Amino acid sequence: MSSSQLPSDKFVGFLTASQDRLRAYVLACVGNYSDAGDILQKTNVVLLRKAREFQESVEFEAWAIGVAKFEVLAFVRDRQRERLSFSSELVELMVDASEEAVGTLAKRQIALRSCLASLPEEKQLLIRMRYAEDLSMGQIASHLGKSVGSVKALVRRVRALLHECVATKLAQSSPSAS
Amino acid sequence: MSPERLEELLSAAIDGSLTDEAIDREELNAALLGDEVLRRSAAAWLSEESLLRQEAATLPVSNTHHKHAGAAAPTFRRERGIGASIVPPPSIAAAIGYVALACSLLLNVTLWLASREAGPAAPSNPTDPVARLTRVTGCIWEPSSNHAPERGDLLPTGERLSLKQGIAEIEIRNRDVQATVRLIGPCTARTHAGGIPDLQSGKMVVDARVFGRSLHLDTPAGHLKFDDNSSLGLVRSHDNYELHMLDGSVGWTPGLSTVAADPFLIEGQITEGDAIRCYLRGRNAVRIERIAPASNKFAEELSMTNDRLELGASYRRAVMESLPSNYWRFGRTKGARLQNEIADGIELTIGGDVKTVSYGANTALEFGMTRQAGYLKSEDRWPKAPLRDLTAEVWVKPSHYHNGTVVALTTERLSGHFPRHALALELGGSEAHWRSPTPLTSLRYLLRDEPSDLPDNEFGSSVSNGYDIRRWQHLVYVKRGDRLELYRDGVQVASNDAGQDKHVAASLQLVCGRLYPPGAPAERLYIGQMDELALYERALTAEEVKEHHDIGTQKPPPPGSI
Repeated sequence: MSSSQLPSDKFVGFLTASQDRLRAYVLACVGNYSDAGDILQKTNVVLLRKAREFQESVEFEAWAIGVAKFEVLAFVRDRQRERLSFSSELVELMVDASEEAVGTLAKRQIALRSCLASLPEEKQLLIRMRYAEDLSMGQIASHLGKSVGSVKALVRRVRALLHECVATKLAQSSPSAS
Repeated sequence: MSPERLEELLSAAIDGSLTDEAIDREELNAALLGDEVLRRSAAAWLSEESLLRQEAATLPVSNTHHKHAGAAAPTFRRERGIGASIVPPPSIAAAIGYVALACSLLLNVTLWLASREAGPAAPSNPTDPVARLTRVTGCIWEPSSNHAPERGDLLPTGERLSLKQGIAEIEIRNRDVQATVRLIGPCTARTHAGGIPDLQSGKMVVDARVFGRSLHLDTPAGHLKFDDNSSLGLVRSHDNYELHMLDGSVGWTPGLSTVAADPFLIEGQITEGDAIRCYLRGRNAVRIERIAPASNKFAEELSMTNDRLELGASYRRAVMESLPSNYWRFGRTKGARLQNEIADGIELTIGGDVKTVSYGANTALEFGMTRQAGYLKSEDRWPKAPLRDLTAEVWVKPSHYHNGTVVALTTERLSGHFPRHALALELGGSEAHWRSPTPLTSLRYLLRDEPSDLPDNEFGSSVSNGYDIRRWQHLVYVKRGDRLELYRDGVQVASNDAGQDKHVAASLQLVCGRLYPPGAPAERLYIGQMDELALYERALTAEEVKEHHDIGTQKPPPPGSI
């Protein structure tokens, strides 16, 4: 790639800043980390390849999500015979719901950060091990000296607790209907 | 699909473990395909999951964790995880900048809440089982409902079933599961997407037969998964929820904010003989504990003869040791007079048609089963002086839900006036009556000083779902100084202020089985059996009440035993 073909710093900045949203969008579409990782990589490659086509008058994230949507649909079409978490028929419906969900992502992120901070230390540790360090349930269980079953239940409880907390904070921050 | 079940399936989906369980995958896909609100909820949850990966990295690392994990960074990361993006993650500052930018684009933030509220109204999936009311036995449905369910009715999602009396059976069926749900009145339940109804009060038994696909039930006690043939009894009151495993086993995952009193009470299988009680705050279970299983709670209670009361010499001894001023065991003497165990006690006589029923050596009286409803009344007046402390203790077995007075102390009828009540203990009926303020199916107790025919300035309260039908119950009314207390089966079920320096007035007429003594209208007739009425000019202690109940429910030794 010659220097003239390299994307501009501004484009890379946009792309960098959009990763959270793209990642969340793709995961919400296909419902599986591994598949979402593959799709995001492809999406990034395509976005970089199309950098020159991008017009600054167009909103970057909307354009990027359009590209990601195309990659999501191409992915499930190519793997129709595999047992994906979401069927291709469902993914076609999830793309719309996912686009709507990422619209609230920034606010959700602020709420989530606040909820994480309010967790007791041992629950923060659990979340860190599971989500940041990507440890398996068995590995966490051996670290904590608990059974795999109880760790699974604990993770699920803390996760649900966080979701409730985020939902409450979002509801509190939204304007009243009345 | 409940939010908890959705989260469970999505958690499996994101890790790839869902594909190993085709049944769950099909369930998740079918639910999401048929429900737009559920899809929005799923998208919100999954996008949050993605954020969590990023945000979790900002959490502090515990020293303890380092000690356990060793100095080296963990090396267990998945190779193909979503974090393996070709673009490095943004800095915190960039992220905050992005957050500020994106804030201007915020749309509706109430999706998740809306989806939760929409629960029962969600359209059922074609693969969901069908729920049909297949059997009704002596059913009285809530009178205020516009439509009483009938045998053979298909039950739509979100239908509130309010059964005041009787037993209703609902069959839930498709090719993979079959379950019979027995609602035992009084109870209320809401049908739930063709699945097992949501018990809201009272008792219910689920008999499940599973042929491959699991049957799920979300309860305040947690999520239940029926994977095998099993029978589970459920009891719900305003502040607790009980699971009694009658046969087989179910998978159980406790609710979120539940604290187990027993550290070994963690998620897993509940098997035959296990029983769990959750204490509720609002809709949530806040504490959970093991209790003794009670399969007899779910026995059919259709016959008045099923439950026997065999109060013997030990019960009499316990009552006598508590020094009652009057005590009738309801053994008949010649004529209509009932024998008082206390030599200088007042005389109680039978009016109308009252039958005697025998339980071994014990006899009880049966009211209201004939055309001439009977009652008991005292000829003498009691007490001699106003009482600051008083206890009235009695055993009752009502035949059905009805508005009936068990015990009352009234004044004599003055010309043109109804008798006035100083004390009453009565049952709420299954249908409202404009002259009775007693709530439906409740147990009401009251004190009026001055005696009055109006509820103004009355002390006491009503206990909702306060009594059972066709089962013996031990009821104790206590006035203890400035407090009123009501006990059922040895347990205090109500406690109320009784005012300062209030008394039970002197020279009252005792009436059992109706509201007013003869000469006044025959209202609020009690229908059922009654036994062992004791009046005390003192307040029994809670320990005495419990002791009397416990002795009364002990089975007598078999004849000839030593």
